[in-house]
This record gives sequence, structure tokens and C-alpha cells, in this order.
Amino acid sequence: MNLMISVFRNEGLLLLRNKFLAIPLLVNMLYWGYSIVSYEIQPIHYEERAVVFYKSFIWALLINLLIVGLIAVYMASKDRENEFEQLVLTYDVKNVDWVVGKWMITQLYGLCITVMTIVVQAIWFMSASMTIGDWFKNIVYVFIQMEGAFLLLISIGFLFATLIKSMFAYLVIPAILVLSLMFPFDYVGKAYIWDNPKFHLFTPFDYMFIGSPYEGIWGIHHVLKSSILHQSAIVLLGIAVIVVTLLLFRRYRRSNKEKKMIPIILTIFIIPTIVLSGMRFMQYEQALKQYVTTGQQYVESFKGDDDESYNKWMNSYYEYNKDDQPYEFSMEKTNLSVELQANDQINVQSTLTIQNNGNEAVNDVFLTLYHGLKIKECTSAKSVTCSQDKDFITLHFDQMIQPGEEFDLNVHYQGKILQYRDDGYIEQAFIKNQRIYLPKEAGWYPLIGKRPLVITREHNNLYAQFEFRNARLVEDFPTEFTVNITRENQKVPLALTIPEISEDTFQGTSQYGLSLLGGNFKEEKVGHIRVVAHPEVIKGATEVIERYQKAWSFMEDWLGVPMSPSVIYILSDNYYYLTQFSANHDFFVLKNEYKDDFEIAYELKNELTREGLFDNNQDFHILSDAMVWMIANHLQEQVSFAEWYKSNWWVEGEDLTVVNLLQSYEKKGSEKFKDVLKYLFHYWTELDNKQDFDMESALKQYEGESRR
Amino acid sequence: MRGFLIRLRLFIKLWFSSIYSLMTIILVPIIGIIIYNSGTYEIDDLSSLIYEKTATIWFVFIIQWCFSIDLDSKFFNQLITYPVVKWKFLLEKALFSAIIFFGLTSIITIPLVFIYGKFLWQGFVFTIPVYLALGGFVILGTMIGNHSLGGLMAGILFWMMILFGGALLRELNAILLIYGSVQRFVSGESGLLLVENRWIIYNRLFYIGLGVLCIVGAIIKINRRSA
Repeated sequence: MNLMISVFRNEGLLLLRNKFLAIPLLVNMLYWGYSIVSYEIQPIHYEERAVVFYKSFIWALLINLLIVGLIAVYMASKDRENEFEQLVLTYDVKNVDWVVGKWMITQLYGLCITVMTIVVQAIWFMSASMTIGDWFKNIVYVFIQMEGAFLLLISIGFLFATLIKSMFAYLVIPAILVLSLMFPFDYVGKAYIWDNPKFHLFTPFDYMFIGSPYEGIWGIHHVLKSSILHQSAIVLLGIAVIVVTLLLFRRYRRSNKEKKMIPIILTIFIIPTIVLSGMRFMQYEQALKQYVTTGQQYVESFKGDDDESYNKWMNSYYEYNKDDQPYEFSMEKTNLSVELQANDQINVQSTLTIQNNGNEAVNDVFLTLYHGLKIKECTSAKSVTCSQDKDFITLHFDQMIQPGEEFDLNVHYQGKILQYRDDGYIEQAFIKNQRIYLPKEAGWYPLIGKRPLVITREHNNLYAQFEFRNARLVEDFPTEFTVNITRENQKVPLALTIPEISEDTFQGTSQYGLSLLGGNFKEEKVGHIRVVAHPEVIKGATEVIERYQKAWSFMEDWLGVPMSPSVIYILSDNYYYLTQFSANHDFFVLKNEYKDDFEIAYELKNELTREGLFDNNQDFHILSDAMVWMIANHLQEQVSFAEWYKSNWWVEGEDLTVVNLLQSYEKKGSEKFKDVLKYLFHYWTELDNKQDFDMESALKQYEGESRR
Repeated sequence: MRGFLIRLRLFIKLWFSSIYSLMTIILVPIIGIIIYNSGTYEIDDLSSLIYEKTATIWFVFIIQWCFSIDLDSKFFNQLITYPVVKWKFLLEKALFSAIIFFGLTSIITIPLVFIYGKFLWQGFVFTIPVYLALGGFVILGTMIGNHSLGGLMAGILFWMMILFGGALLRELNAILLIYGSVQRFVSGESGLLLVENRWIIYNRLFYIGLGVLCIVGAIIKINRRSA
């Protein structure tokens, strides 16, 4: 033991004298300094501090892993290479003292980098808006991720430096990093056939997240527990690996005590490693399994035979506008009394008022509810039988429902709402202590009509054998909602797409529906719009939303279509992608980022012209470009349309007659141009076959009408 | 420097009798078989895989080997007591490694050109600035560390950076052949001096500049050494 300490001291002294070993620390310092300063000097922050921190953290971690791993190999092999070790061997030094002494000083070096990172983080996060508890959890998270990874990698470095007695030992470190991190590194939530998301668990730090472990208003709560489990297994494995190194290091000169003790210690560490990693593996496997079973339940396979129709079929997966078919019945009123229970369970008493807006009397009315929720009771003043098949509820009435007739229905249902997306990486609906999310797409309350909640297509290039997305759910009619929420745990504030009238009671009319959200957020009003966002991004979001608002009111005046939403949620990237297509004029989602005028203009134009996005009609694309220009021009004055079009879209040889035609209107003044575009837009909307859109004939018709 | 050809012959002889050459010569067909069997590659992926992702680390090892002979054995300490020009020593070793590297890559490229067409040659030439930067970086690392290990570590760092750091480097990304627009640029389909291709030229100039800067740094470093 004494010898181990003197090896440790001596190596520490050598390290201190080695000026190169200060370089990684310095690089880390500069990198963090740059990240923090470049964030803090921005006048308006569009992203939270934690978003920026974790983005930089992944890069810093990768480069530190490489450096620390290489240093470990160096520490283990330098004395063998300069043959000092040959001399040491003739002394009375135990293998354990020699190897473990060096191992410990390398660990200390790794620890220095970790401590430096968490000190930077702790200081920076003091100015972030999070509770002390969250602040502490963030530090714990970063510490276990970094330190666990260093511990294992240093042990691996020692092991391979002992096994491979040449420079090639150094290559093992990048090879291990590349092999283990390559797939999770550029993973976007869809594993290809040659990738297996389960293998993403075999990384030196818990990499079971897409992009960043930080999820905006839900912080890192989603990953924290599983990371602790993963990293405990890694730490134990790291110790086991160094024990294996001791087993292999110059076997002939092991003492009797070492011969006895090392296998015993190895067993002591291997067993909990296997247990813990098994637990972590099962945890993910269960999520993946649920994801795959859900997908298989909805999956649609290709029925045609030729390549062309196959491509068409594959592309139609992206045609969001076709997800929803109009239904004659409308949900007039929805009263929900929701009990949020632990373990993602909900228990809901609902009273629905449904009206027949069609012209025919019918017996059967359809509702949609997520299949994980089971109906306990279903009653009405009229005699009714309810049957549930997957996501659909069929209400069968003995008496026909006449046109214009309204009826009330009481439904009591309960069940587990937890749903997974993206190969089980993302929880889409959850009820936890620190975070609650029940998006409309989860189907947690009865929706009118037979609606697909998800769109799934067979896809033989993906690991899961299908592609999977949330369906776009749009209502034909607005609904008056009253929602009362009771929950066991009152910790986090709640927000709904309708305003709160008293504590835990929400009331309002919405044509979007209900998305319930609970976490670290702040609600503020921008004009008439309620904005729900992480407290740090409210200011940046307000700046972006004010420009959106300008565009919305301009478009409402100009085209006469409803645009301006009543509520906006600012979500982290992954959740934004899950809901963005469902947004309509009542509800809107944004990412925490800056958007320029053209991005806003494109987005809003696309919201109106979803049907034409995949068409090849050149005239239509010119029309939509003109609309984009018009919106952007309102936000900030632009060069003339024709000039703008030429510099942005024109490719050599393209026919410009249509653009020139529009330009001739532009020359007549902006009001005239607006009027023409409005006419053309409505003309296009009313066309049955959008492919037939022809600008010249439409303009002729316009001339005819305006002359009259 | 006199005796250049003799030393070159010596080095090449040494190279072919070292474990390094043996391993690379075995590795190349293995990688070839893996690439061939993976099936789903296109010409741009293949050229990127060979020239940008694999050949770079290979080059690191070749340079490191060339410098390790004199530096790691400390023969260099004795060598500089002789009347030799230090920077010439440096450039000579760099030249040896370049000759070995380009020789080996050409051996691989020639049959590939017959199989897949001349884009591979063009991709190889297009990547030379990256090799220059990488070489400069490794040599500078060797000189700073005064041991071939310094070069090896610097080289691995550089290689990992270009392999994973695409998102950080943005327009200075070194892995470019996988992109369609770059492929068209390299094969000469789109004009070399077009405005939209200017970033590619700046990108390559950056790597050339980095390489020259590193080599100049290494020369300054070696010239300051006293016997």
C-alpha cells in the first residue's frame, strides 16, 4: 500500500512537470469560455442556457474521452517503452502497486477535467431559471456521465496498453470510441436496418437521447434515472477491467496473495455489473417493445406491385393534409374531470355533447380514444351501446340520430397513457412528478370521428420495419371545453391549450383541442396570444412571435383566412417535430430558435397550401413564391418580386413568362398585386384537381371578373 | 542533401520489412472486401470512405513511423551534432512518408479507377490539401512532443475531429466527397469558379494554409533546438 502511494505521488509529480498535460485543461477552459461568452453577449436569448450547455457538453465530452483515453495508454506504456519498467521489476514492487498507482493518478487527471466542467456548469447554471433541486440534479448528471466514461476508458486504455506492446495500443482508443459512438452519434430517432438501437446502450456514457439530453421545460428528468443506472454499471465495469489488467500484467511475477485475491475481486465487481446493465437493458427493451407493438398495430403495407406506385405510396406518407377526413358530427361540448395518477395512469369522467351536422339520420357515431385507455362506463339519456376496437369507439343508438339533433354522453375511462416514439427514445405522453405531457396526438380524451392517431408505413430499410409519425388531427368544428384536473402530486404548474379560470379548472373554446403540459414553464401574453415557454426563452420567443403576429394579421386582412392562434407552446426540438404539423389557427408550436422573416413567410404560406407542396405544377410554385414574397415584404421591405425571384429561384433556361405576367401587376401598385394574388390563391383553393392550375388562364378569368 | 537516394532506399527497404507495411498490406484487401460486401455504396461514398476517412489515419501512421526511427531511438540527438541542416532533415522525413503514402494510395487507386472510373483519381487529388494539413499537424505534434508519440496523438485528434466534427466545422468540413454538389465540382461538371462553389475552394485553401502554417511552425521549432 505504501508503495502504491509512492508510485501515485511520483507519477503525479511527473504529470505536473509535463507541460503537455496542461493543454487539454486549457483547451477545455477556452472552449467553455467561448461557449459561455458567445451566449451571454447576445442581447436576446432564443435558447436556454442549458440547451447551449448540453450542446457544447457532448462535444467537450467526446474530445475529452479521446484525450483521456490516449493519456491512459501513454501512462500505462511509457515505462515499458523507455525500459524503466524492466528496472522496476527487479525491485520489490507488487504488480498491484505499480499498475494501480499509475491508474489512480490517471483517474485523478480525468477527475480534474470533470471537476472543471461541473464547476463551470454550476456557476453558469446559477443564473439559469431552475430550482436548486434541478440545479443539483444537472450537476449530478454531468458528473456521472463524464466521470463514469473516464473511469471506464482509462481502464480500457490500461488493459490494451498491457495487451498490445506497440504503438497500435493507441489506436484502440479511437477505434473503441468510433465503434461504440458511431451509431448513437448521428442517430435521429430512426434506426436503419443495419443499426440496432439496443446496441446504442454499449457506450461509455448514457447516450440514449436524440441530440441533447435536455428537453426544455422538462429539463433532464427524462434521462437522469436511467443515466444513473447506466453509469453505475459503467463504473463497476471500469473497475472490473482494471482488475482484468492486473490479472494479465506480467503474470509470472504475481505474488501468492495477488493470485488469490484478484479473481475474487473480479467476481465481486462483475456480478453487480451484469445485474445493473441487465436492468438498464430491460428498461430500454421494454420501451422499444412497446413502440414496436404500437407500430405493428397500425402498420399499413404496400398493396401494389410496380416500382412507380411503390414510390408514390412511400411519398404519400408525408401528405399530412390527407390524414384527416371531414366528419358530419361535431363535438359541441366536452367536460372532463381528469385525475392524474402516479405511473402514467389517468382516470377521466367525461360528459360530451355531440351534434349531427349532416343531412342524414344515423345509428352509429364514432369516437377516437387511445387504445390504452379502457372504457369503464358509457351512458346517455338515449339507450346506447359502446364498443371499443383499437383506437375507435362505436356508439350504437337504438333510435336514429336525426340531422341537427344533439345528445349527451357520459364516458368514464381509465388506463395507462405512456406512449413512445422514435424507437422508444422519446416518451410522447407521460405523467411524472416533475413533468406532465398529454398532447392531443396521444388521444387522451374522446375525439369525434374515426381518426388515425398515428400513420405507420411498412419500411424495409428501417430496424423497426416501419416508419411512424403522429397523424395530423384537425377539427372541423370548435368545441367548448371545461376541464377539471385533480392530481396526487401538486408540484408542477399546469397549462392547457385553453385558459385557466380557477385553480386546476380550465375553460374555453378551441378548434385545436387539448394539450396538457406541466413542467418548468412560464405563461405570458403577447397581444392576445398566450405563450407557454421555458422562463429563459420567453423574451426571445416574444420577439419572434411579434413578427409572426404581424404576418398573421396581415394575412388575415389580405386573404380573409383565420391564422392567428390563441396559444403557442415553445417545445424542445424532438417534441416540436412531433406536433408541428397539427398546429392550426388555434394552436401553434415553435422551437426555441431565432427565425428570420423568410422562414416565417414560408412556414405560414405552407400552412395554407399543404395540398400543393408535393405537386410539380410550376405555375403554382411561382404563385406560392409570390405569396411568400408578399408576406416577407410586409415584414420588411424587399426588392421587387421579379428581381427577388430571379436572384433566388431562377435557374438558367427557365421560362419567365409567368413571373413577368405577375410583375406587370406588381408595377400597377402593391394593392393591385395583393388583389391578384388573393384571387389566384382562392382560385387555386377551389380547384378540384390542383395539377390543373394554370396561371395564364386564371389571370384571364381575373381580368374578366374585374372588368365586370 | 547528399545521400538522399541512399536514405530513401534504406527507408523503403525498412518500411517493407516492418510490421507496419505488413499490416497495411493485409488491411487494404480486408477493407476492400468489407466495402465490396457492404453492397450499398455509391461512388462518392466509396471515395470518401477510402480517401477521406481511411487514408487519413493511414497517413498518420506512416508519418509517425518515419519519424519514430530517428526520434524515438534518440539517434536524432546525435544526428544534430553533425553538420546537417535541421529543417532539411525534417522535410526529408516528411518527403519519405509522402512518397510511401502516395505510392501506396496510387497502388490502390489504379485498379479502382479501372473498376469505378476516373472520379476516384479526382477525389484523391481533391483530398490532397487535407493530407497536407494532416501531415503538417502530425509533424508539428512530433516536434513539440519531441517523440513520434506526440505526432500520433495529434494525428488521431485531427482524424477524429474531421470524422465527427462535421457539424462543428460547417463549411470547413473535411469530409466533403459524400455531397452531391462537391462531387459535381470535383468531377468538373459544375464550373470551378462559380460563386456557389467558392466555399469549396476556400475550404481547400484553408487546409493548404493550415498545412503550410503547421510545417513552418515545425521548422521553427526544430531550428531552435541546439545540439
